[in-house]
Amino acid sequence: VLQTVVPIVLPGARGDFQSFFLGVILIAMLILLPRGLTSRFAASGA
Amino acid sequence: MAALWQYVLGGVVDGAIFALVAAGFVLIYQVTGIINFAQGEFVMIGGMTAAALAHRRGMPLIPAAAIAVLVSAAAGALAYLLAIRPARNATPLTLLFITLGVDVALRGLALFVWGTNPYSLNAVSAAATRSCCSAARCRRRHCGCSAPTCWSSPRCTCSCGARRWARRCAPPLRTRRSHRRSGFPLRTFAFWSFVVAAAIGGLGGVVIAPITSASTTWG
Repeated sequence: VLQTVVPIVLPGARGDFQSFFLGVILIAMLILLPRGLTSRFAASGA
Repeated sequence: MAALWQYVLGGVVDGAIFALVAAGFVLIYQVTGIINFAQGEFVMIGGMTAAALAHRRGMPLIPAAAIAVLVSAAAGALAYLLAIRPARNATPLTLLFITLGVDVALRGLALFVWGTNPYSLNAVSAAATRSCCSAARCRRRHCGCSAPTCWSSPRCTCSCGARRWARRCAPPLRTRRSHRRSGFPLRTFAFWSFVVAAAIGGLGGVVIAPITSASTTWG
């Protein structure tokens, strides 16, 4: 998806720019869900 | 005998560069307790910025190096404000993985801006090269780099002094409750530790760039 969408929005993008978005997603997930993806399910189950 | 001096000088240059990069690691760890995996990217940003400004824009080396150090410091400040500070209550393991995310994001941003092609940076000055080569016969690009590395050695000593000071004043985050009680501005110190460590890394990148062509895979 990133390889398709990003060059349309930003034509000057070069290299393996997808890793920037992957890094941002990783940081956002660790900030919002520091105990992992299943922490929400565990909290709702309890 | 000339080859021996060449090897000795090359080893001193490489050791000084490693010490300069390690000073940034130690500074952040002593203040925040975080092992910053993005330190290598700060080095890459410094080297790539200086090389891109000097190579593509034709800027003189000293202003390009100063701008590169400032850009690295700004990257460190943004990394702390956008990634580390919002997760300040997370576990050390989570913070460690966040620095890995910062590493990946900065590398992707560098690829986005500069692409995959390496950039070359010329030696610092002809005078520095001549004075250096009078002591040992070595390659011009290598000698030109050794001048700021020699300059960086007292800086490294200063950063070690700052490390001792930081250890005395700001223990890692595991004792932050006691600092909160005493009103110690730990967040301010954590912010400035990232800024200074990134600036030191950027300086290291500027120093390394004449030896090997600057590339986004440095980090």
